[in-house]
Amino acid sequence: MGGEILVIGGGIAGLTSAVEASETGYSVVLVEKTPFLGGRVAQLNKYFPKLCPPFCGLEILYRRMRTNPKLKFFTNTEVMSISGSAGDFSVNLRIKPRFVNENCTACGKCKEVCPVEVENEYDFGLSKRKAIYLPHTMAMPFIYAIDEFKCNKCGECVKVCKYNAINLNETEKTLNLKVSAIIVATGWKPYEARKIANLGYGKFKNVVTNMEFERLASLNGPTNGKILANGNPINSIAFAQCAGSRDENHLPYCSAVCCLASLKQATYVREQYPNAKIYIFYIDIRAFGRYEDFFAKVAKEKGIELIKGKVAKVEEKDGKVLVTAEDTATGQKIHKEVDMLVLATGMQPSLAENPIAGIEVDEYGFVREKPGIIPAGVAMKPLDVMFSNETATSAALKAIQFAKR
Amino acid sequence: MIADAKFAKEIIQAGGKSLKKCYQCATCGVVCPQSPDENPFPRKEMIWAQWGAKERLLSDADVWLCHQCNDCSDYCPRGAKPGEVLAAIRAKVVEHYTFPSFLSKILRRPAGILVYFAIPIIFTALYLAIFTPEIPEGEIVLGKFIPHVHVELAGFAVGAWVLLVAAISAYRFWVAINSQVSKVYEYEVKEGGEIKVVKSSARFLEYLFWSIIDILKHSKFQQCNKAKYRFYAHFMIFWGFIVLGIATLGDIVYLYVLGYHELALPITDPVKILGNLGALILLVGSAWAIVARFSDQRIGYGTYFDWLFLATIFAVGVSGVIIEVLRYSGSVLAYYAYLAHLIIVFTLLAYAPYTKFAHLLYRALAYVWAKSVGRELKS
Repeated sequence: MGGEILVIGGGIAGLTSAVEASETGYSVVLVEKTPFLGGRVAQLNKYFPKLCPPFCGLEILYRRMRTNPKLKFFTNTEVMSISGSAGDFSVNLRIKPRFVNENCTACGKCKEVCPVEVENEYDFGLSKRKAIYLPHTMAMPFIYAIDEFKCNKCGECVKVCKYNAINLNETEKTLNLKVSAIIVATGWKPYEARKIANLGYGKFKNVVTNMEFERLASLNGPTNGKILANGNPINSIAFAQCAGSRDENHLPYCSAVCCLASLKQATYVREQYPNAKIYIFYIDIRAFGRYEDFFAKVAKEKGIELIKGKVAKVEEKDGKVLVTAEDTATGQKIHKEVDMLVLATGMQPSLAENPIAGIEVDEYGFVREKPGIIPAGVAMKPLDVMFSNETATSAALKAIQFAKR
Repeated sequence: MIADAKFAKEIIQAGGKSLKKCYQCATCGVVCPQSPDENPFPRKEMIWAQWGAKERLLSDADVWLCHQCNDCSDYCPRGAKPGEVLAAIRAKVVEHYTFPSFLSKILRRPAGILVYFAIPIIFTALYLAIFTPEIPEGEIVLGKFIPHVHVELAGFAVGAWVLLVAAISAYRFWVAINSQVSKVYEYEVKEGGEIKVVKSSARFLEYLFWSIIDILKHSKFQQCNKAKYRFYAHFMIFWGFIVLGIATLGDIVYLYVLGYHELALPITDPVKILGNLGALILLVGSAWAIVARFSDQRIGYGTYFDWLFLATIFAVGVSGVIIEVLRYSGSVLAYYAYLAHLIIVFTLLAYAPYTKFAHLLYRALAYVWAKSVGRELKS
């Protein structure tokens, strides 16, 4: 299988790299660790720069994938190790069982009878799902999957499946691939907000992360897109920027997207609640490049107050969240009682805590490029969707040069 | 406001090495358990220090309301260690206000350690040359070597000097923190555009009384979270001194009221017991403070100014105990230990206005000021 390109990660950067490299005529294998493609973008309500829902972008990529015979993808597949050098890599893969095959029509009968209910990671635990599940109606592949650690093998789903799509005895497989180049698009995870002791996450119910807030605002989220605190409409909300980013005790780097993410999320609130008070507490607003316009537009809106000073103390009082910061413009401490506090938590590269043998990372877990191993998207550095895709295209171009025979 | 880059460098030299790392996120003032809502510290002090706003810092009572709990340094996202920077600023403030300024400049620098010991050693050598005391035979009785009255007279001389210098410092500092630049509230605009200048009230003595109560109880120190040890260690050192002071009064009563000729008291004597108790509390407190200073790289290991004072306190305690041990064991070395102890006690007391010991004065005045302008944190 010489000359092939391996793409690790089925998020927006990995998909873009895989599609673009394969469309030039090279064989591409894409592997995704979870049972579904789409990555972090699939969890967003809207994304930059056009503030469209994520599935318009993802759907285009999925269609380009389906019509391209040169591109194969494996879900539930992890890279165990990489050896060799540019032009001649040997990659060991582990394909975990999905227990559901292509016969599945996603009719959903299995889900109804499944007795095991677990936290839904797609909604960051804000909703429940069954052990046999499809995360959302735009899932790719559109085939159910069984959570191998949560399933109790009761067999109820097998009984109701009319299409003979479920095999609970499926086992793990391993696979060795020979590839010429590897694109690492392993992405990121939200920084663990519980580690930021003074911001109250995990202690107070209405302190949420920005990614959780995306789910709360999404039509396919736990509240069907209605932003609620304690089940009630909100009158006030605060955003705490740099929650864990630009902080030596947490992520020392700037996560690049959180300022714009909060400004964007302020527009979600404004759309649903024209009179809600919105406070954004920041150290510096980093709206780089052309995003300056977006910042200016949001900052001008009535009822949105930008306060220069980091939230450093969070308390709870009668179900409300009490935030304290020093406004450095006036030199006074500010106390705001709000219905909800959104922590603009940063991005931590996935490889920081789950390294892959053969891929070198820097002190923070971002991938170091070396001949034949090319990072794309947030695996390389903190980026938004648009810039992730630019790095993905450039990674595709670099990879095909190694794959050239 | 005058920016003086040299002053910023001096703060860095005085131990505020991390000063320039601050990027003004203002976490510090919010996590600080001592900082009030209006014009909180230490964020503003950090930027003043970066700019070298000398005038502001020298007349800023807030740097003295800081007890270096280090909650700020613990949460600081940049490792800028505001706790250490404010300690360095305090060292500069003491240096600035203490008379004569050349002596305060010398003593604040590490090289000044030579002068620190040279002065008492020269005094001791002169004393030995003039009075030529001889090591007495027989039982160890310190008063036979150097008469108590000599030590007392030297003590009065040193005390008078210290009080004079401290009074000058206190006056200069008090004027500064009540001057135009010092006002936390730059001005207060009242109705009709009338500008109210905030100054300390006339009820100085009342506020001083409550400040002393706060000091005795360490009520501010108690609010610390990160460096809670500072409360316990400081409390022990402080009360160790007070117990030792009471024991010294007991000695004076023995000598001049009860007519004792000598103070070679047995270990069971009540005054001796009190003295030993004070020494023990002092030693444990200062040893604790020394050990705990090394506990966390993130909050820093203290400045020279801090270490000199802490080491001196510890040395006073240790040398005092050594004399006692030697005396009870009948060794004539006790007399030499006594000389060393007197030298160390001299450095502790005579330099008090120049060393960290002066914080007693500045912080007490800052307490009074804070109470008088209503800046005290309501708990």
